[in-house]
Amino acid sequence: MVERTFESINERIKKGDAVVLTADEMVNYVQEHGVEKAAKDVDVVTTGTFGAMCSSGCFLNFGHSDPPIKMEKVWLNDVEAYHGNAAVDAYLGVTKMSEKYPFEYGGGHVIEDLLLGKSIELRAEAYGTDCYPRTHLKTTITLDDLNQAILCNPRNAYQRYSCATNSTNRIIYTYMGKLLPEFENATFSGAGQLAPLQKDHAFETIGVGTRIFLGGGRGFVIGEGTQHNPTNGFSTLFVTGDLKQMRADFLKGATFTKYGTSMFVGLGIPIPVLNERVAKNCGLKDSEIMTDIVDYGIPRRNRPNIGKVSYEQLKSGEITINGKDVRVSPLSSFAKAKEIAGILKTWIQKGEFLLTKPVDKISMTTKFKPMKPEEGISFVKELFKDALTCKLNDDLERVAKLIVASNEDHVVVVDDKQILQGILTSFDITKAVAFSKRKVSEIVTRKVISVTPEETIYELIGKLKKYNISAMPVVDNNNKVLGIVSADMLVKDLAPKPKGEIQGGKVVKKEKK
Amino acid sequence: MGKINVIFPKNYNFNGIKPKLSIDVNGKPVAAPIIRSTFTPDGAHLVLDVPASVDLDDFVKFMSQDGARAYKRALVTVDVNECIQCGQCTAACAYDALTLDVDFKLVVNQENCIGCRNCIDTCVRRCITVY
Repeated sequence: MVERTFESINERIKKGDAVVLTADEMVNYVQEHGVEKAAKDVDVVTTGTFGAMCSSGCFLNFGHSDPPIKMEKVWLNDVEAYHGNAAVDAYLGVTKMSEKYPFEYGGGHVIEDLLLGKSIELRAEAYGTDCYPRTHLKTTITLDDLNQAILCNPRNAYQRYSCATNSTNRIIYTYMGKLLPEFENATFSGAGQLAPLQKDHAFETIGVGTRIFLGGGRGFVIGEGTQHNPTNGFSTLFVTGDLKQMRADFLKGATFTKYGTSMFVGLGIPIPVLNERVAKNCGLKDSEIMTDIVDYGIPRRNRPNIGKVSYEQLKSGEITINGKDVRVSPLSSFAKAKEIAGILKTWIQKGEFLLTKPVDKISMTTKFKPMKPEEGISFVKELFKDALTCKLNDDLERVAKLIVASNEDHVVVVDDKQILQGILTSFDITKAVAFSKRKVSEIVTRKVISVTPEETIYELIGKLKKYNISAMPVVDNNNKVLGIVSADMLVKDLAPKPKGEIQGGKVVKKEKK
Repeated sequence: MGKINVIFPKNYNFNGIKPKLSIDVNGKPVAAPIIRSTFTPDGAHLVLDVPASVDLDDFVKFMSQDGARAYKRALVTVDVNECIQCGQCTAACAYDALTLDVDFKLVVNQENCIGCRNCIDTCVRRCITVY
């Protein structure tokens, strides 16, 4: 039974004796020689990922100008950086978009340009204080001009991620890329057998203080990542590193059409093969790593799960969804991930990179909670009301009386089984009188836009606007009419409630008691 | 009549081609207007509108001389210096013009491109061009 320590492995690294394999190589080695021999022969396994990490950003310190300024708002190449900290500190997030070129240039591109040695326009505004009198600043900076530039990834190294597809009849643009209609394609993220947190899902070797490959330089794990979800196989890490020693090859600004900007971040973590258990985990294959296929056509927190798939299938370029062969592509670069695992391997082999023993454990029990329900209406099902209905062969006179009696503007036309047939408005009735029509069937609008109770009010508003209509029948999946929803109802619900009592159409302030 | 893509290498001798692109194809003068032109340090890319009177295959054959390459089909090109090999474009290409090889490196199969342009806005690095 092999037992190694961080110290013993580091000794071998220093002597140039350490046996290092990339995660891909280790998978083959374990398969060929078995876990026992792999544990005996291999000291370190290197992993790698290169995916879009939207949580990323960097802290920058510009140094003081003369006269000095306490920046209130700050822009780098027209991308606003967060400035809720000290006078000349800022945090530049990768998804913040340029004001001049939104969706095409963002914080991630600024970071890449800094690494390329390009000159960046720095613009700041301030209110001016006794100690920081300056109110405006415009200059250019390069990475060398900054005192510190510290890359931060509050959520990186996702253990796995879902495979995204689209059931709707239109193209959707998401953070999972461009998804074609009716399951025409699918995309997936996560590096599978190359992913660090697949190789050490129990956090036996990775912990707070683990030295890593980050953006072409060296960084550290500083804790669990945001949305860390170890009980569900979605662990993440919070990592950081000195941007000044990173390389533009491994931090790349990215543009997701109609979604926004982000940045691809290269990350690699060495796994010391402390014992056979670690070796066994390092031998985990793509075919053993499963993830969910998720329908991104439904814009809800819990998007429908429509199947399971292994990373081996995903990496083959084609998966099966509901019996249909679907083209699938990665979102993150495996070519780059392999390159990173290879570079880390070389660093360790050359004795340039030593392993660090964690100073603290990463939690294995953290839960990823959803947001608490907010106030107000979010879904059509919370809003709609009973509809006035009529049949196709009804007399218009009867319908007109119905409208007058109920003070409604819309009548939904249904058949005997309450299935949607059309819609009538009070204006249609007016037109019918003008043109001497007598039957519902003569004037009914047969092509009706409808919603389902599960749709959000944002989708409802989108449809009302898109089709320039004021109301829509609410139907179930079989087109059975459940009720009606109108713009009026939305306005009533969304309008701020009057503070006070309404008297004769005016709001009268309540007397303080 | 049809669109022809021609890639010219660096230092190509353009003397036989006038700005409006009147070319003597097998001794017959052909006026093929330039629809689009792109010049880079590595050469030039012209899209020519070839009149119906000319056989496209003849034209392609004629243009593919002295290091120039002509294509009858639409043409997808990827800027390799910008591409990060993420592979997102391959999920949008139903014609296998863009695929990943076994090492997950992007392979551009220009002869398969039909010019649907579905790939262009999948590229997070904005480095795909389709003529």
